[in-house]
Amino acid sequence: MTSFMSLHGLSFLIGLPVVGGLFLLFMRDPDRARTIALFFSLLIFGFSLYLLVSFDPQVPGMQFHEVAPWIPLWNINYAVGVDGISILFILLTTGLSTIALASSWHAIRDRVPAFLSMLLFAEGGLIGVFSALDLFLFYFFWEAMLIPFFLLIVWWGGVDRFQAGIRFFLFNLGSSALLLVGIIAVYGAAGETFDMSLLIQHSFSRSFQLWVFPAFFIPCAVRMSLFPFHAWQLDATYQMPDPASILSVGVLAPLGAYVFLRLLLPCFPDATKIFSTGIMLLSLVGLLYCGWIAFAQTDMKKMISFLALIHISFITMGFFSLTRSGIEGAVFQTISVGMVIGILLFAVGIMQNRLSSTVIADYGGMAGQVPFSAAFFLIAILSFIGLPGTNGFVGIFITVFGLFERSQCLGTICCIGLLLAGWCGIRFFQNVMLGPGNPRKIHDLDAREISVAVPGVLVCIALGMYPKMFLDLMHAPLSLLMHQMQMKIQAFPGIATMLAALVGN
Amino acid sequence: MSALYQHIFSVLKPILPECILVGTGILALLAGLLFRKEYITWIAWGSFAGIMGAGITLVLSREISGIIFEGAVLSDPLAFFFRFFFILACSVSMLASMPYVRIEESRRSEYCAFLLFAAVGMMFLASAGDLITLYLAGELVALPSALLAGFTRENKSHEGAIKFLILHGVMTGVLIYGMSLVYGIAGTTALSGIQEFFEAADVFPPVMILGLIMMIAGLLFKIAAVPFHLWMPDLFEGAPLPVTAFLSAAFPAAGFAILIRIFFVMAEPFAGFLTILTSLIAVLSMAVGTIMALSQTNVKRMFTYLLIAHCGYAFIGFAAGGDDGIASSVFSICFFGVMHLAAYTAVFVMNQSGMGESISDFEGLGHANPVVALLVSVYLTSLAGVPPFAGFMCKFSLLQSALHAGLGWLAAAGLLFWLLGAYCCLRIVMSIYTRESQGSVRLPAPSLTVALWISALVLLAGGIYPAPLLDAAAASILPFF
Repeated sequence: MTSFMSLHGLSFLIGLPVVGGLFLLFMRDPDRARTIALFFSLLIFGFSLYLLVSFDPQVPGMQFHEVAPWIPLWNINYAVGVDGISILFILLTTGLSTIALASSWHAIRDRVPAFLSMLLFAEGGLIGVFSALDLFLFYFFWEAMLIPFFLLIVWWGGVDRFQAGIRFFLFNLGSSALLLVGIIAVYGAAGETFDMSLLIQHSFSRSFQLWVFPAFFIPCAVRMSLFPFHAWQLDATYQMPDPASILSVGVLAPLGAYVFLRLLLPCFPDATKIFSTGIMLLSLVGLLYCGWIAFAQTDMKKMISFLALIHISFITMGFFSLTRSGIEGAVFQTISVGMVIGILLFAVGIMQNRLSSTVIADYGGMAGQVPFSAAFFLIAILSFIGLPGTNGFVGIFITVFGLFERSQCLGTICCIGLLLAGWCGIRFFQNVMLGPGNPRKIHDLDAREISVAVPGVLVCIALGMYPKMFLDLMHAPLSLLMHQMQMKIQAFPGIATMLAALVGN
Repeated sequence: MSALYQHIFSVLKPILPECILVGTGILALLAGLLFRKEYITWIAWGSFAGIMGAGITLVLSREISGIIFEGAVLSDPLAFFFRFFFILACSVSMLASMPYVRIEESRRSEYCAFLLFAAVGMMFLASAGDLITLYLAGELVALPSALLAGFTRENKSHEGAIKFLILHGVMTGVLIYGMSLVYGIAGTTALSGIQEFFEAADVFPPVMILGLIMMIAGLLFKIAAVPFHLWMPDLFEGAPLPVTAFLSAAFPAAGFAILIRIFFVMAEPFAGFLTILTSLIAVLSMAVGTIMALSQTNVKRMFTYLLIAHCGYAFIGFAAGGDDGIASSVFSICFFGVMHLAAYTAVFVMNQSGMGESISDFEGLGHANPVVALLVSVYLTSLAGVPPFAGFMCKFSLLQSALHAGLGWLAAAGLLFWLLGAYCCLRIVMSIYTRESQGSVRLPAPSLTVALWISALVLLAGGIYPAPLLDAAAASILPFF
């Protein structure tokens, strides 16, 4: 059994949600479908925990590695494996999927089995992306997961779901086409291989890196809805039913960050270095812009989308500061933001369930009636704005440290932007929960909601108190990454060299 | 006498599947005369059994290769690949036809016979080794196709068939004229002979060039490549839907099979010209097909224009050239065929339940029949080129071959039009749950259910594990390199 798990554990983890989804597709009874989906979801989550426990953080390189020939004609293998970072992303996916499922319990009444199966398909695609070690397999999952998300918007979405669906489709499929060209170009340049471990070792010429970098960066920026590619995300989150938006905002953004880490930084270090200042400036503009716009939001889901956008810009700044602590903090922050966003959207789902509204003005003064909900909401918000003792603090602190290492000016402005975001978050909490008593009567968390909220909040605090359990896992892969980048990166070129590289061969 | 029979049998052995199909077709015609109309279902199932028999014979005799009738018919891997595909397409559309032949006005055994004869024509077209065979096989495809297309007693059906017949007559004239010019210069109608002539010749008289251009124009008409595409939307709109399904899968594949042979004959002296020609046709077909598809309201016409665009994508592989490029063309054209076959069959199912053919009729499909809605979504997603379905593998293989050959601009154009085409398809997927439906869509016959599920599973299998088919496609064109 143990040997089976270490050999095929990841394939099993990818296969479980797909099998569950197929199974649900042919069911009729909504209640039974919910039970079965919950069973699968808990099984997947438990299994991913099992993988985490049996993961050895001391061993560098990939674990649970599995390779099988897939399409020999193009030298494509089915290759999966995880290192200390990707297993955290997988855990985030499985955890948020369980939260999403819990959130859908009462919220979805229409075509329940199909909805749950789409959730599971999306989960399978996400786990697949995070564990793929072959670039083609990675792209396969990267694009395949669009379909369940697309259907979740257009089949279960709100009034303007078609517009949101078309935007989602145009942004994501269009940018994926760019990525497809990118991976084929890399495949040709690296001697017809899609094997990521070989690609990372390969030194691409600087001019090639400069051309290919945008083909990888733009799709990631779209997927993580980085400013100015964020238009689709606002629509999609607003139109999607809550459970789907938990998965969409909570995991799609980390997915883009994961690609930065896995492909962009190690494969194209020169181009990354050249573009890094520009990207950091762009992210800074995005951070301030979204922080500014967030103040004007009157809807809870839109507010959370903008709060997420602020942190996405912040994370991108961390990655492209190209310092050890910047990257480390950004990885930590990616996962903790994904988690907190999931919890916040779950909280919004709870309230929407009670009052059938997401407009902030409809709330206010709720804290007296629903003290548990208010506490739950408050902890999530505080973690979001980075109060010491919560997981948000750890990520923000380490990242800001790296930002200052890169440039004190950028770091200072970024901190001001984060303060804005914090202010905005507090105001959000104040408007929803505090104030004079609300005449509407609603009931507090029920057992199902508590069983999701309490573990979620506990994990946030635990990570804030003892971040070492995640940081230790990230240590080995990050050291490897920094080593690779330092080995491959050449002297930092000036504008003249960069232009020469672009024009020349 | 027995020696003579043995001789005849040994000669016919490589084309035994075709013989079985022709025999079944003739038996079906006779049975139609002998039995009452109520027995049409039995005749249809008998024809289906004949197709299955032909398929089994084909698979069993796949090792037998060689030259039949002094080079007029070839039995090589390329022929085997496409013959197998035609039999598959024919059997699925025969299954889909079962409810159609039971309709009062179309209870005629000729329907089954014509379907079989058209398939035989396509199989011969794929194995033609001589210009004469090419022409004859082309006629054997066109005439039953026109008859099938005009089978329904509706004006549109007749209109499409007549348009096709007239245009086809003109273009066949062009084709034969080209052939005769080529024959006049090369002195032979055998493809191998013409190839030898090309390899040996230093200068080509202008008449030869003219002849070749006319021939290629005649063949491009068969694929409905732009600018020879005008007949296709009308023919496919008017034809009975199971016929449209079959023709949409088989017509382009048959055209590509023979084009591959002709292009290899011409490859030696004209490689540069062929690259330019095929890239041009690819861009034109993609552009016209996609842009026209965007503005259609009738779903049959939309699929037909998408098919024209898909033929354009398949030409990308031709333009890229090399074993990689041609193999991806062969692979893609087959899966494009399956997708369109499936899509038309799904429209037929909706049609049988009294739903219309406009795109807005899909709006209630989800509530009317969730299973059909799911399958339609699968077909359309595959047409949109999104994994895990076969359309994605086609997209990848063609793009990869184009970039490999350094045709970046063609790849970029392909991706752009692909995105627009994907929008066309996903627009329908989006609208599936828009409104409550008036009626419910039921599956009129179990055979249709089987046909729909087979198509969906083939598309899924082609998307998840395409290696066997890719290898088969690569092996089929290997002898040419």
